[in-house]
Amino acid sequence: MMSCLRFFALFLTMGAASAAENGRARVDWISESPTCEAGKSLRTAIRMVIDPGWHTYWINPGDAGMKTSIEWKLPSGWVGGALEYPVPERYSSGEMAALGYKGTVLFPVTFTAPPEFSGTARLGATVSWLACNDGACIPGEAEISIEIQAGPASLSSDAGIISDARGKTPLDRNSDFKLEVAEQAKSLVLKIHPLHSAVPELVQTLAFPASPDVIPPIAEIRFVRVPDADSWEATVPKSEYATESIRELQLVLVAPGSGAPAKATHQPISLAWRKSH
Amino acid sequence: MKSIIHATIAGAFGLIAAHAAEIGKPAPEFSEKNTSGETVNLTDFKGKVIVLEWVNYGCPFVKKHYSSGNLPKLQETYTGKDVVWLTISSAAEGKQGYYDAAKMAEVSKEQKNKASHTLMDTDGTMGKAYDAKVTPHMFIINKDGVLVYDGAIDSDPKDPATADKLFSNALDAVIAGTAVQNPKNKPYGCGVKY
Repeated sequence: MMSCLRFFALFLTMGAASAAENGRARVDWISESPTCEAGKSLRTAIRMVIDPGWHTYWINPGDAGMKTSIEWKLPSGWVGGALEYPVPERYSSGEMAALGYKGTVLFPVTFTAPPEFSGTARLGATVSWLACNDGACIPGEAEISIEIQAGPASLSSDAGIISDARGKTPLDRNSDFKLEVAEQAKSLVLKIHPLHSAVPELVQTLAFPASPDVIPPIAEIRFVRVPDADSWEATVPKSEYATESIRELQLVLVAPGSGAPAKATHQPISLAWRKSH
Repeated sequence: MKSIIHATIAGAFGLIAAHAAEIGKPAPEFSEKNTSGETVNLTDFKGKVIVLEWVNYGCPFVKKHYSSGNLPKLQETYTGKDVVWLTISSAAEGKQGYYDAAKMAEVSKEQKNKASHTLMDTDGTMGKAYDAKVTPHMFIINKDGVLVYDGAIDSDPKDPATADKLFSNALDAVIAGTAVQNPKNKPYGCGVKY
């Protein structure tokens, strides 16, 4: 135990000495296969390993911070690059909250090879982020790439990691549920209705606002079933920055109480509302 | 006894007032030491336009505005127009951006800070009274002591050159005595290290 602690202390010291401006995180890129057939899709993920005690940011960073973003450098003909952000955690400090990640985070992203793909292709990207803890913020940037050879897919040891990561990112369920937003003076009443009878019970009742400046990031959004009605409701405060009337809201919702979804049907979901007219 | 009760009640209301930094309302009072150890109060600047700028020289968003010369230039321009510019550090001891007063004076000089004063709000009282959230976070108080701007320095952390100059547009309006177009907006930056 003692040696374990000592090793940990040593690790921390080393980190402090050598990692002045590295953004307190390391980034690499994994692929389900080192090969891909022409015209077929390839599942990959950007992996970020964040130093203990630090966090990076979600698409809506919260009260401060900066969204983790990526710029692609793809060979001609390759399509894709919609980075999927896993559900964030909330880190609050006083009345402020950050929405983001600690530890290891995987951002799945899928590409499609061009129909005439042959030989090898190098996919490149620049990842930019901000890492903060209670005491400091440090920016990070990394250039990463992967080489893909033309040929039938052969699953790598990372395929399972990517598949797990995909199970933790929100699934668009706007064809099953309808999100409605009623704006009041200082609050918002959010309602979710199933759109058809085959829709299963909504287990993803804990929500995070992907749209910034609508709901304060410190506010917990918890949907409860409306008694005797087939709907779920949550009343939340309105962001102090929502000065004009609210036009759109995107939420990601998770089943409460667990890190990893227990079942496939518990996968996080995303729902969007847009003001009509 | 009666006067003690009065004082206590006034104190309690004072505290409440201090927590209500709100656009269109009198700006919360403050009394903080500058880097030379002199006490600076809101009431020292009656009849002047005042800018409050929250700083943390270690924060990458702040660094960008100092290394590009943007903030020093704004400070120089507007103090030249009789505006009082207060740069405030609310970083607690041991956190990023914290320096003792002597070191802060040195760093401010290195960074070419041209503010009227740099205030040492190490215990965060002033920051919390104004609800300063990030660095940089900008506030403007008009000649009547009313808070008229609470927001970002500009609209885009990536490219100050093309960003909407939210803060300086607001300050120009305040100096001209016209209405501020966007008095409350969300500032970007690093959380204040209270």
